Amino acid sequence: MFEFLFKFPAEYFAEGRFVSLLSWWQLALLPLVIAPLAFIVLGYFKLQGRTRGGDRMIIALLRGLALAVIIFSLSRPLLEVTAQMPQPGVVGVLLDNSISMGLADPVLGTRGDFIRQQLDAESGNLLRALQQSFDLRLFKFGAATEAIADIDALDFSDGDSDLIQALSFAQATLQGEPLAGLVVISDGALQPAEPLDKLLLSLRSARIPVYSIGLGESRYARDIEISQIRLPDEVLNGSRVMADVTIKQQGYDGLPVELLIEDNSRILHKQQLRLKPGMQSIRIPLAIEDTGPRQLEFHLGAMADEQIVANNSRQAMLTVDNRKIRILYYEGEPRFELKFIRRAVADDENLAVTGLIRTADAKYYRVGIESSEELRNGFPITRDELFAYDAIILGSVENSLLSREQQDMIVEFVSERGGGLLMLGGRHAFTEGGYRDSVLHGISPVIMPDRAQPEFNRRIKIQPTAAAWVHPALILDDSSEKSIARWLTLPPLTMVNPIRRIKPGATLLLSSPANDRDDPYVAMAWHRYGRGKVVAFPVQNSWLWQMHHEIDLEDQTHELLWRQLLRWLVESVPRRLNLELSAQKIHVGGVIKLRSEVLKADFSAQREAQVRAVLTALDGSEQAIPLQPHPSLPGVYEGNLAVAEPGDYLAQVELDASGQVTRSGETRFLVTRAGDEYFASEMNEKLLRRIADESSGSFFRAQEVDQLVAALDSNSRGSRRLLRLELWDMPILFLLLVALLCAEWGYRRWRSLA
Amino acid sequence: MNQVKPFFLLLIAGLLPALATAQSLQHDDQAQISSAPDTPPGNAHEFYFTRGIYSGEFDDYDEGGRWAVDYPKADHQFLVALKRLSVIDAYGSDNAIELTDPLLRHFPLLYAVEVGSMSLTEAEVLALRNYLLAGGFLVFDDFWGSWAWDQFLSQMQMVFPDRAIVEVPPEHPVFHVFYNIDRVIQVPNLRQGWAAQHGGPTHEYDGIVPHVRGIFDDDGRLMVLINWNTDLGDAWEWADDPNYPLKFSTYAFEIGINFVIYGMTH
Repeated sequence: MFEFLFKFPAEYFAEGRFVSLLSWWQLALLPLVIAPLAFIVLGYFKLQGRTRGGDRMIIALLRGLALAVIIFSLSRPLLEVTAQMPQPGVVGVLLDNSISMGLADPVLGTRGDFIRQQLDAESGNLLRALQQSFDLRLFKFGAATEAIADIDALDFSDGDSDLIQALSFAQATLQGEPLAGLVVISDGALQPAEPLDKLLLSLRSARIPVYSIGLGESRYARDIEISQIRLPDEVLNGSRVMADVTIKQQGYDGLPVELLIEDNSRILHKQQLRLKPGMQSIRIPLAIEDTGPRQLEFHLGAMADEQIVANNSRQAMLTVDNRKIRILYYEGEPRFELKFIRRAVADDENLAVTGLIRTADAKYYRVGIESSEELRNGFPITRDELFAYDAIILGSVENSLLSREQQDMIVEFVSERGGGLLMLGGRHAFTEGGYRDSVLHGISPVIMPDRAQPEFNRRIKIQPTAAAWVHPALILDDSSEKSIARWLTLPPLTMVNPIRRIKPGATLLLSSPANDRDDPYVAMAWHRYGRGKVVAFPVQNSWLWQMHHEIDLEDQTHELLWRQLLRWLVESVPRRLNLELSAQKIHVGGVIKLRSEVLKADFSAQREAQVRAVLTALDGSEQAIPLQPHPSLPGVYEGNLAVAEPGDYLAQVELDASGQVTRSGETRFLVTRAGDEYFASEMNEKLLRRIADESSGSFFRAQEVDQLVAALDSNSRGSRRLLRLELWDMPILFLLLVALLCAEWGYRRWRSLA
Repeated sequence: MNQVKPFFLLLIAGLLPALATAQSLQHDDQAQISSAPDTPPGNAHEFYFTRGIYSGEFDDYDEGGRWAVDYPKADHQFLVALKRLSVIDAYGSDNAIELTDPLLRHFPLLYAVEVGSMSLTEAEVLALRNYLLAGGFLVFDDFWGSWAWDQFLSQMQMVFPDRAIVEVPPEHPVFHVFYNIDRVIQVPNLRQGWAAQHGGPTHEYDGIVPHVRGIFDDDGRLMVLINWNTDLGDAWEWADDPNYPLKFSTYAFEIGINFVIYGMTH
């Protein structure tokens, strides 16, 4: 009866609160409406004749009450209540289907077993508890996400677990449903590739709480892992390769372990390490003998009682290139330095140093040229001619020997073409050569003194800085310790360019102490300028490290230094046709992003070219993927590639320009079923907790899973809603109004009033 | 030439024993390197015309030594021409040094004359071999005839027992690096030069045909350049003598500058 009269149950009126739909100014207008009515009511008291005062009061009361009912209705009264909805809320449950679910937990068994036990259609406690209060939607996720009917669809075989993508997918799929929240059951092992912020903002704005259940241990008690390997993408054949290896371990502090590095079963390096607590990084020089795309295997010996052995081995790819690097050495006068540098690299099949030497005024001698036309008119005056080289060595060449246009071109050679520039010392170099106010000073890694000191001539004993101890160009022996010792025993050289300062961001590699008061002299410094490198080596006779009587005939220091220095200088010099891969290793079904830069002979962008990536499997089968021009970067072409079969693959890019097909060098990558799932496989509690906290959900460990349903119940937005109920049309108001008007009419009749 | 100037040899013979070693490098100390007293010799300039002091079979060192023939005037005159005709930063005076001096290795280009009378000690043989294998470049000059050749050959076979001495072909860069030398001509000494103007011969002893021969290293680089049956040093020394034929001194300067530039760039 109450609900018939008042539209809503009595509990709503007990728990709710009244509000008006009218705004404050509308409410403020009500007195203006009431005032004339009150005037009319008061008019009854002024009526003369047969009407008595008591009648007028009763009639005015009845009329006033009727007006009050009307005004109440007009004020759009509302009842605000938080009410349990009659239908059940929907809960999305996201289940990790990656390979790392096969890892065992000392207490719970494997992570996958936990999911099966909890969500089994017949015996799963969690499933049963959730189904009592909520309507469930199940999803499995790995690299991709899909809706599933039950856990029979899980096989824990995905090589990746993209949690961000999974949550976005579930949110989009369940849009419009009364969603109580999302439940994620995962180890959250991999760091998300995409930033979390966008997802968290979306979840917060849609008021979708995420409840994450973390599987596995957040820190293994006993494990050793190769966390990271850093190698250059490409090196020249015969170059020393520096491998940076990061090792993480728990439970084996101070114990020895063997690190083995192999290339196609050939041992490249083997050493015993003493394990330090937590993380440790080591830099290892490697000499790779074979050319082409290489896959290096890094292995750590298995330790006693180790929890995860699969993460003791890791692969890293690099390409050993056998191309010829062309270097232009420009000298303003005949110097022995040129002779001995050319001699040092003469046996290096990958380095070709072409010398351009001014022998007299306006007379040049060319040495090491490939054709009679090369450098025929002296130092190049066109981009095509200059950019054919990979690096420039600038010897004792006075500033006036290079025009402004040529110097600008050298700047572009470094910054745009990505070439290397090596500035040697000499009586016509740096400030002494008039470069203090030149554009080449702008790209130099050193700050040239304001004033030339032509009389300066100093014997310098060169010392490597800490940066040089592990620098690939400056390691002169098998180990850093031996290398440092070798540096300190090298004979002194001479310097005629006193430079003491390097530019911010530049790296000082070699120096020579001056005295107790002043900064040391800069003997070698470098920095990156645009896409290329610039090195200053302001000494004038490094050839003494070859000729000096203290240097043994068999000593290879001078040769090694120059080979390594020139190789390192051109190490990252881009070619006209490049291919970059987003990863060296992906899981089956994963997507690898391909990016190619295509340049013309003058290294300007090649637009509107037909560019394809060609993927070659080990069986020789090829697959071509057209690459599309980047919308905003001229000369850049991109595409995605999904690989369905595990194995070794070679990728290269193919340019079809005017019917002429050119292919880039090959890059190797690996497709595995596991991807990197066994690495960093401890439960990523930080990630799971952050997602839960920032979406107003909760994080639980596997052992705390029984708290999930209660948390969902108390915080579920889908089952309880804030209701604003209109009260103006309650039947009680209509009945009350009719009753009041009838009462007035009856009273008038009874009292024979008009 | 040495037959015509015995007085000159006697003169320098008296001076050289005292100067021989000191003279080699003291010039550098006089150069502008005062900021670093311990500066090694040979760094104030890029190039030092360095003359090798060697032991002679007849040990006439006390008379000045055969190594010092034409010294130092030839060196000075050659340097004047070198500095005038090229942009090489050359030290302007002579620089003689013993083969066994460790500082020899600071000078990657060496000049030696009258090597027909050279009689190297074991230490000199080792020093010379190491110098050349390390990258040094050696130019021999002014020895004539088969007798001198045989003596020279015996000495070089001590230095390099297994390396052949071969004729340097005319297309070799050493003949074209600065001047184009199309033909090797015989450069006579002062007396023969006078005689040649009146139809006389230019050769000495039985050294009728001039040769430019060489010894190459394992990578085909020229290490030793041998001017046999010719006398560049005399042509430099007497280039200021109006009686010495211009064509010989001109040729001697040209090929001498070629040797230097080649030695600095190859």
